[in-house]
Amino acid sequence: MSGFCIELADERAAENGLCTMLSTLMRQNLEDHPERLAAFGALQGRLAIFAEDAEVSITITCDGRSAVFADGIVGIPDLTIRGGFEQIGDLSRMESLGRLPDPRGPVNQAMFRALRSGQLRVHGLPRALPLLLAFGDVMAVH
Amino acid sequence: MAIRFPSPEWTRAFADAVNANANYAQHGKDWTHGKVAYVITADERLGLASDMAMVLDLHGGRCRGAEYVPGPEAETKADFVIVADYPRWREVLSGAVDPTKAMMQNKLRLKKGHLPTIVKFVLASKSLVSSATAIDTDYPAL
Repeated sequence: MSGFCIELADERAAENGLCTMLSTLMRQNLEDHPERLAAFGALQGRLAIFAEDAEVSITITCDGRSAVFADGIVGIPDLTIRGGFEQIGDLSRMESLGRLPDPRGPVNQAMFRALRSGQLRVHGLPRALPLLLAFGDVMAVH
Repeated sequence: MAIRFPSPEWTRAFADAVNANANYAQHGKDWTHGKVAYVITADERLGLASDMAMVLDLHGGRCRGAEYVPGPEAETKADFVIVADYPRWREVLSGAVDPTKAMMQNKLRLKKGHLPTIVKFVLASKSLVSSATAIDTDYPAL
């Protein structure tokens, strides 16, 4: 694929800080790392993210060519990530070994603890695992 | 005696507080990405007829200098520009609200700069902001 389209759904999305943060992060990451366009192409489905203690939620609808960020939970997500703002903010800082999380990484260890304690919940697995892995590849800041 | 926020005096005190913060020295040691500006939007109640900004010259875990300048000047001088109104800055700089949470809630907005770099240095950003809690500050009531 030769390009990508990342957009905010509407005015409400433009006023949602998580929408603007993650859409900007996705756009700048793809500009910096064009090799991640393959992962962007694999982003197909609807992903919801809910930062519970910040009371902010978003839905990202992807079809492999575009990603549209909307305020709130829209439709039925294929994958839902719910957690505290710290865990949601750290999703992009997870350390990787190839395409898999590096268990030695301090951010990953904190994430695993949050998963075990229920502070972080991921719904839709294992069916939406390809969507989660592609999202991780596109959004990573390392 | 408490120092009024925002002001040139408070900006100098902030630079001193950053340099006294061991956490910032640790988490910001690899920061070589330029100056950071905190813009406070115009507020007649504070006597701010136009946007004002604190520009911090950060490098290698130190603050090499700080200026209190008009907002538009900060946008040309700084590589990263974060904008909020006075009540939001008071919440964040007093430690009442986490800066990541504030960004997700659209209380702080990144107007200029490379977001993946900010995310990568999130611990440095938090330490930078928390430096302000060490300053005896007079936050004017509105």
